[in-house]
Amino acid sequence: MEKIDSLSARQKRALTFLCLLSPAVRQLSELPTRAAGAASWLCPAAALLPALLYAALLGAAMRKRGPGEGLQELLVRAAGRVPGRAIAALSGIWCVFYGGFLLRTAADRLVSTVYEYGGDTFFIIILLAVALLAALGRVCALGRLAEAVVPVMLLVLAFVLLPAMTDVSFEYLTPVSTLDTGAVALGALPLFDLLTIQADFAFLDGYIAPEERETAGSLRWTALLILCMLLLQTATIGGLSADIARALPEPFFVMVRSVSVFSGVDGFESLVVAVWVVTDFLFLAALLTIASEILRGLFGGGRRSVFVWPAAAGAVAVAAALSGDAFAVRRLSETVLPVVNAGLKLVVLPLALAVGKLRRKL
Amino acid sequence: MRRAAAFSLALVMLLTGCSGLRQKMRDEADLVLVRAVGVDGEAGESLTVTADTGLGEKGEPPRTFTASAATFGEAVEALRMTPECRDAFFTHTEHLLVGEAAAETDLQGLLDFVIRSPELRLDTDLFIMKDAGAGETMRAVGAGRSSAADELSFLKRYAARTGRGYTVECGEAAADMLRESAALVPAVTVRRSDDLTEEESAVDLAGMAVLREGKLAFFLTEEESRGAVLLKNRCEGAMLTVPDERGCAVTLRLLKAKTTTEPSYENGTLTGLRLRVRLTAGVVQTGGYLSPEEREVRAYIAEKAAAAEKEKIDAALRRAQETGIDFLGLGAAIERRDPVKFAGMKERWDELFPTLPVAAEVTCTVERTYELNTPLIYPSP
Repeated sequence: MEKIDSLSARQKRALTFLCLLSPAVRQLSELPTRAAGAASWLCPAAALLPALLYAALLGAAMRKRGPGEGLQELLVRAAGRVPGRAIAALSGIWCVFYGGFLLRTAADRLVSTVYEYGGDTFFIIILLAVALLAALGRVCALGRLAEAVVPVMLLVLAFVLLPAMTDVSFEYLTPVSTLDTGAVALGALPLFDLLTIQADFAFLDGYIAPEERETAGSLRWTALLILCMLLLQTATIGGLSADIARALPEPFFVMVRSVSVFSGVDGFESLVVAVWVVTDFLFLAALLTIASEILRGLFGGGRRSVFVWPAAAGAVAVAAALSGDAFAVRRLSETVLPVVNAGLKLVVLPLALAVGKLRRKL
Repeated sequence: MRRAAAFSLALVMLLTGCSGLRQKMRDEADLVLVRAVGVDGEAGESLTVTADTGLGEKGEPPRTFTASAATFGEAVEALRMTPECRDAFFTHTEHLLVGEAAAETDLQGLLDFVIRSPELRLDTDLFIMKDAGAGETMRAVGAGRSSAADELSFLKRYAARTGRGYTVECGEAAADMLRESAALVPAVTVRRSDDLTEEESAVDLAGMAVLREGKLAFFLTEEESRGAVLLKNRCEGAMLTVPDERGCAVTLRLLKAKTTTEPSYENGTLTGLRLRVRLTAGVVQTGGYLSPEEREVRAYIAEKAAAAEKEKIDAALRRAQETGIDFLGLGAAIERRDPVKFAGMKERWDELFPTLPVAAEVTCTVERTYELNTPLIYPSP
């Protein structure tokens, strides 16, 4: 490590939780709502088992790491120097690409939900600047920030979801029958796919001292994230109806716009949107940190902060390439991204780890 | 950590406008907070939007502003450009009052704008103006002691107690049209009664209006509206007067209506629909000497109440089947009950519905007599 920089397992889990919450809202509004309609509130529950299984398998694999080793070192050990580094490089490229995509979607959300007259360039610059400062800092600072933001986020969620649940219409959440099984399973796929992104955070495990009950903690946080997704989708579909929700790009924020507490306090949607931007910023900072950590490993060490710059430049290039058309971004989010992520996290990564197991390297 | 926390806080402040960078602070008195929006005319031709601020906190008269354009979105923007309505805030809009002509041509466009706009909210109440223009009504009501916004707020609170209707939000109307192919929204009309001076007007509930395919289809009569309210389980305190066995008037408050749908099938084909409507009532007043404490007296009153309400329910069902528009959401109710069986007939529901035998069975339970158990019998002198 370049300095005495460490992350606790709890901080990493808090960071992962917050980072995945932001894309979860987008994913829920896409395939789950379109495919399963009124039954889409069951999609997160359907994703629970495979997500827990994945988290458990990932945890089991990461337990084989040595001191100071992250997923990158584990991959090199498991699959061999060249294939392991190639997989790590692919993961790094993925993080940079996802960072660019995140920049664009976060800016787009602000424009479509609050700043009707604005352009996205301003928000992209602001987000990037803040995320860059965090990524250039120590990993433990990011972890501590995530740990501090989690209670705030849960409080905001409770503040929104409690009154929203009182507006939920049972009629909008039904009918649910055996006919929906296939659609619910289909809707659960992108959610499961999203939850596999936690594998990217394993590249930071070199900063974490191994703990006894690491996997159990990871499973708890995965379950908490799925519970949040279930509540978010129930409140959104139950408040708006699936027919309206599937026509909206960000139905959760439209639902929030109509939430009022005791018929008195309302109009706090811009606050919720802005708090959600904090999770985007954290996710972007985490992706830049992961990408720079991978680059550092590929280029044989040195200061991690040096590699943050090329990662950020790559993310800006992706965001610039995506700029101008919200429809193209949505298509990308529904098609290319889940497929590439699934290929990487559900095929390449498990395969490499399985090879390591067969070679008795893990 | 501190640096990152400070950045996060700065981010939230900057993006929510709390920093004051987004716009200059303004005096509250200078703000135009729109509470009700009226729409008249025909979309594509000339649509007129009227904004109403409602009564001020200290009883200041309402302010109304008008602008016209080809579409609702453009008219709202034009309104904002008028000198007296600059920087108007539409985020507080509680009610959308749509004139009959505008509702008949393009209600879908209005709802589309409301749902799409970051300023307007899906929980904005939707009212259809019957036999009068929305803007004209807003100005007429505003000329008196009240405002259209305040009148509509009053209706929102008490509509269900009239038994002639209930308020519906824009999001709910849009969702119903998508799910059930038709929606019910309240209709309002201008009232000029004896207690109002010649210049004054008030807004009154005129039953319910049926929307289909994003447009106003027709208005229900008061009787049909009452039936629809009961079948939709939206009755919350409507009054009803029936005779007791001696012919004396007994006034009941209908506290709740609960409708259950029982479809019948033969070889998997839907052959009929029975609707069980259970009413719950409380005795508000009796004019005679019979005590509702006695089971037989209660049963008689309940039977009369059920019979009276059944007529209204039948009228609503008749209108729905005659027009072939399932504005009562019966198809959706069957689907909720038997989703697997209904899946096969969902596409053909519009064809099946007009000729489907539908029977309503209404029962009433007199649940309470409030503070007076037995009528007071005053001795003759």
